[in-house]
Amino acid sequence: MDEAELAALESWLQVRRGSDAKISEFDRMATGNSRENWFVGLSDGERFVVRIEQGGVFGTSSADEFRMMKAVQELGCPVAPVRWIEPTGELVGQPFFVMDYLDGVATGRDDRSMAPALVVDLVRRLAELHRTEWRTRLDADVTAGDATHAAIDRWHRLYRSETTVAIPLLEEGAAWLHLHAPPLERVVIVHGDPGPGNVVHDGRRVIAFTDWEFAHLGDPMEDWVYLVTMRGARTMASDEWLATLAQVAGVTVGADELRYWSVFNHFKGACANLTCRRVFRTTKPMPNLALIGTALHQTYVREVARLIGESAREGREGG
Amino acid sequence: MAEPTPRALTDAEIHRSVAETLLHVIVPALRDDADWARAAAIQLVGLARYAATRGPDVSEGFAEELADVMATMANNEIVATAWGGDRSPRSVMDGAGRALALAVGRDDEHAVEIRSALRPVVVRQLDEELATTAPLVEAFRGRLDG
Repeated sequence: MDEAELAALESWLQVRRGSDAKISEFDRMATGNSRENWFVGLSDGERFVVRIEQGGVFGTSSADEFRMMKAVQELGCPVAPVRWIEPTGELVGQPFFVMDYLDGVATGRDDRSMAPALVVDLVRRLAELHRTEWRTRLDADVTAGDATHAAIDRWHRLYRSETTVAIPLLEEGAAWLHLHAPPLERVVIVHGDPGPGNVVHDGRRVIAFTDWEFAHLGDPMEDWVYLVTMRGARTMASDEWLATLAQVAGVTVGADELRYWSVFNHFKGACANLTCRRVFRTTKPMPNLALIGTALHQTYVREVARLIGESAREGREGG
Repeated sequence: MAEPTPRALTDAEIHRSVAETLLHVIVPALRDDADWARAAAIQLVGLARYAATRGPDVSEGFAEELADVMATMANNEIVATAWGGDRSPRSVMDGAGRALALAVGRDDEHAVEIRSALRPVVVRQLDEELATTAPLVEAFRGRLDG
């Protein structure tokens, strides 16, 4: 952000807050590939985080993220209170919103360690999120019958919009996911990226879930399996996670569910990561975006293929 | 007789210089709390090393190979439905994707042939790409070899 944009942000905050406080600290926080997160300290002592989009990374929007964070805040879930949104991109070149800065520990960007008590609290809080009566705060016409298919189509559409050339293993992945989509009893708020690294905590308890850009309405298994097999995979072994989920949240994840949602989450990641290649080539030539858009994307495609191949070898026709 | 020394620097030499300078000059000079800058610098080292060592783009060669495979499957009804024989990369990759997708959920001989003859080639091509891009994953996580 250049000086002119910083001055514009300062004025914008002054208008929103009805205060003439100036920006006294402005530092890039060492988290976030989908958004730039900036710590803002003001001369009156208030502290905020400015969360700025990056050219449509992951096909997610500030407006959706802001709306979901506001809703879950009102539903009593642990989240940083959101304050104001600038959805046009006219002020600093990209849409952004402002949320409160929370004191606590935000684990390092590649640190997946968690104290046992924090693991338990995270699982408990995620289960609470899934149990919320979201219809009192969110308008949506998604049903249990179409939620998973809609999610598959969303990510498939996103990848096809990013490239003129099909990726055969993602075409197979979408077909496999549609064919094997498990029945869903109840549509819930899905965080979409839960686990270590996306939580502010005090060492034992969750203060806030962060990074809500993937949040949507869907199947809670998407979150549980993501936690076990992806974001929490280096925190502890899969068996330990599954035992904790059963004990703390009463959630049982069967082998078929584990495989299905692993395929789904890697498919989703592969599709979303492809957006970074475009953003790198056009608006934001930062190395993290190049790496996500190439190597990480390919790694996820490979995992989709491996899991579907494994399923086929075990006798489920067509993978 | 030895090859004449090129007059101009090669791209690979420049990329190696970028990587070495970042790693041994810039990164050590960063403030201890400059986590984001350090992560970005290490990622850039990985990207520069990749640029210095990668080969030519393989997309067209891969598409040609897949076209050859599908062309040998003339009696396969899935291939006949999925691909019209156009050998442009875009048409071939569309056709291969459609063929893999149409085979999902089927156990007949046509679907089995897709999974036994076409799919392994697609997967092998991805593995070849991954062999060159895998170090980028480590760089993304802040780790480098050497």
